[in-house]
Amino acid sequence: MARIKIDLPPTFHFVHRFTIRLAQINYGNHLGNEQILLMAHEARERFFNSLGLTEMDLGGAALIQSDAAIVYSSEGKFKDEIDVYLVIDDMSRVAFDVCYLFRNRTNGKELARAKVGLVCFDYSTKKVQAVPALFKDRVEVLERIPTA
Amino acid sequence: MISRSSYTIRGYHCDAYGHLNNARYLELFEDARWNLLDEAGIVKPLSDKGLLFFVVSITVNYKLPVNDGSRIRIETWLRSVGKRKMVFAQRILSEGEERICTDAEISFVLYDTKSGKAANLTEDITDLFKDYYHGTD
Repeated sequence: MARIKIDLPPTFHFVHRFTIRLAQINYGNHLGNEQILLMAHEARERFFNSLGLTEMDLGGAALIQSDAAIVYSSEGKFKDEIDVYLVIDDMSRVAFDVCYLFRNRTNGKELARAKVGLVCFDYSTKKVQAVPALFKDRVEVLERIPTA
Repeated sequence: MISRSSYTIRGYHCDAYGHLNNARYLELFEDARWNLLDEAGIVKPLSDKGLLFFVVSITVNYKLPVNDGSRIRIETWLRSVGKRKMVFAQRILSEGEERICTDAEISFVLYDTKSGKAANLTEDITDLFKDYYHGTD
């Protein structure tokens, strides 16, 4: 049974830091599995905001999620500091992936990797849309961030 | 056997689009897995052995949006069993229309709290799950 593999580039477009809260801890005394997607969502919206955009208006299109994959590498504990690195990848005419590396600053270990597929979508017409040029242009000029 | 759990999607499950939030799917999937474990009477035997469920990977395909007020059913079964890892298959269907809105695979190990490692899945453990094992859909 092959393990899911998420390949990541060496540099990223954005990083956001979280501290694990008590409410995020589950019965295994570690970060709940569902919390990775919540942190990914928050980091992604903060990234869009840093470009002057939002997930509701990415320069003329909104977003709908098509798929997600997560691979958990180690446990996150209460008060651990987690850096979430993200990079936009595999951009097509109407869609792109956001790939994530979750790095635990407290113990230096990789916490998880994730990949989320997003499609540009017009909620009023219920149709897919082209990835807005404004978003593409703003991503293209970003300096890439190496992991610390 | 397939475990079936029904839910009504409420506003607090949803994001700003009025959809079931992408991370809430994982909570509902987890709840449905616990329902299977309860139905099968697996929780106490594993707890007595000091074994905890640790998720190692998840894949989710969001096929159709699930909206506020929707009635859904989550179907859960065991898709594969390895030496240390098992995979649950899960899918969300809209009740009534019976359309598949989402499917997912969740791989997990049983963490042995005594050894601090993933437990070998011996026959006495896998037997607990046997009624819910279906290799394919």
